[in-house]
Amino acid sequence: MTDFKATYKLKTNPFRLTPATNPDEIVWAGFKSVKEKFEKRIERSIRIPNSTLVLNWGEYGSGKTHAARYFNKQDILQQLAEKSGKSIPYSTVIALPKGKEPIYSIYIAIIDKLNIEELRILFSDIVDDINPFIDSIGSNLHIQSVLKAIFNSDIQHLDIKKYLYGNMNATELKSLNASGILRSLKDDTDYSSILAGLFSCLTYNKQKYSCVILWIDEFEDIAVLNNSNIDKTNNFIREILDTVPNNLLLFLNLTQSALISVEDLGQYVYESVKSRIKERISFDFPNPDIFKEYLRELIAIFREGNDQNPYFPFEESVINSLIIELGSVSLRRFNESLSLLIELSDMDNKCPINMEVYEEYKDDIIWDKG
Amino acid sequence: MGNVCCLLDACTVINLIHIDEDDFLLKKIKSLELKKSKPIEILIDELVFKEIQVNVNDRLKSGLSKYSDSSRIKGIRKEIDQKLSFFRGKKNRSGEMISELGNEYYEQIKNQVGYTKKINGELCSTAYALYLSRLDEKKVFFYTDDYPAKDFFSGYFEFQQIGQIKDTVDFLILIYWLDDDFNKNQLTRVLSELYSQYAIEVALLRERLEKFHNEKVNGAFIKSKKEIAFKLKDLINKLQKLEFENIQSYFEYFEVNKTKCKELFEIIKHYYSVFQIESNNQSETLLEKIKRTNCLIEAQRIYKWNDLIAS
Repeated sequence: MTDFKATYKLKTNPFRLTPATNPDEIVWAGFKSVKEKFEKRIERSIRIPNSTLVLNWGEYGSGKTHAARYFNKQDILQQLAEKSGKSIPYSTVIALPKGKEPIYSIYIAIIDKLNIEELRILFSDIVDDINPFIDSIGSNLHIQSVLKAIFNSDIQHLDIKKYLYGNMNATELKSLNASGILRSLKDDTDYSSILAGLFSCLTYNKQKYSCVILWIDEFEDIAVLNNSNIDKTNNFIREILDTVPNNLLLFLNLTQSALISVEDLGQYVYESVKSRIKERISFDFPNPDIFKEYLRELIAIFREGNDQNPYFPFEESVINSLIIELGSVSLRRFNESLSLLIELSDMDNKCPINMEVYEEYKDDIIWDKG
Repeated sequence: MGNVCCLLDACTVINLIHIDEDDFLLKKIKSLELKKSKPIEILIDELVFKEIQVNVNDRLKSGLSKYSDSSRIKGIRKEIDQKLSFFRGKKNRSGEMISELGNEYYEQIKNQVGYTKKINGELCSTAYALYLSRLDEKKVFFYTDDYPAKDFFSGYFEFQQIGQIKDTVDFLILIYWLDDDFNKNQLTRVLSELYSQYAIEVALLRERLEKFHNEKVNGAFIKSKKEIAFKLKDLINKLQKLEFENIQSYFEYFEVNKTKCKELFEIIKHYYSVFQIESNNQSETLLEKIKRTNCLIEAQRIYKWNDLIAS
């Protein structure tokens, strides 16, 4: 193998399929209109108080999960917040649970990512305002006490985390009695109420966080749940939007699949949820021009040094041929083929990747001609 | 012997255990067995019971299934053990058969049906069904969700006039019309749970295979194992489209080639139930059948005795 960077003039393989662990490697290339839609939607939620539900719709490998990861990056959210002159959103991405207890699993996924210690430091200067605000949220005194305990530095942050996870025994629970917490959290109503209250607190007056952005990825998996859990999931979304009327932006990533097509969407996403969808962002298969623009931008981001050919190490004719050969397919399919092509060329020390190289590996990189 | 002799396969029992909430189904079955008119008798072959014991907890394996909370898994495992003891009492007559006919009886049936796989639960159940039908001069219903096995043995059941091979959907409907207190909503609920059992396994297998593909199938993999990589892509594509035609052939392919890619076969082996959904061109899959049945029971009443009198 040759020195990859010097030969291919790329920092690394830009088409890698494994999700990058380093947020710096999660980049956005091309697809300007989709990107703008997300930016506008997030900016809007940063600025104005209304809660919103957005459905992101597309086939497998069309980029929905990538969009969630990209717009979950702190630097991207910071930029959007600065444009509006507001504080950064609190953002989190979770996959729709397929288990027996979807609401509990959603709750746990959010609590897992909640850093109570950091939260208390951030909110330390407004904690006196938070308590009266919590008193105004609903009428459930138990839930109010739990929410106050999250922000109360007198209670060990690990103790309250343990409580939120439901891992406290009866003796340990006694230590929280003085804070008005007399029982454990026990059902979906408790979990939804805690999340709703927490989201409201986090975005109090948009002071510390301008909004909460919750991405539920793989929402199509609602089609594999039983009827009771389909009900629970729909009710959860409806309730959370109703009880957090302000500052919540909920994205549902939904893959059009054999299990869930446009026709039977209504069977799984109830009218009570559908009627709350403010926008649908569609992830379509790229046409040749859109794909080539994406490719140029992606390569430019990963470029090491300079090259006159924006597609280098690929010759443009290779890209054109691949587009014709694959036909109308998802972005992931293009990425898969180009990733293999660059790896195979690297293994055999072939550069640039011209038509001769392409023809040699064509049968290795195209699994099923579109 | 009951009016309907229900011989259950491992997958059907495992499904009944996993879809049952608060012992609803087990209580129904028990009360029907105890009824004076003896509407049903439940039987399980001994080898089938061993298969149930080995596989009943597969869906709970940590990190591989929909159950991720270890403390909750403990509780579910305990419930499963309790349900399993209910079915333990049903494997009561295949011992008698062997003492009467000898161990070579299974080999005899295996040769007659032309079964090339090793002796397993489905073959033993077929042999047991033949014995029961002749001993008690009754039709025997063998309930299995292993569609490839169902396809293979159905002809034998028909020719030997043993009875019929049905699936868990049919079994649930049987219990429904036999029990006056089993209402339509409850039937819809258990059918939805059964659908979910399989659909979740399909989704989990697809996810695991996609993850494997994304992490492992690179240039080096293609150079040494291109056929495996392409078969894997084919299988992922089929699972995405819910196409189960000849899906067993993929299991067999990865089994034959397991030395070339052990890790991949380990994943596939864990989700064997998905490969039992196989359909041929003419028949529907279990998932399709559940969906169709749900529509049918909305459109058409399944009569119980009291409904007939009332109408």
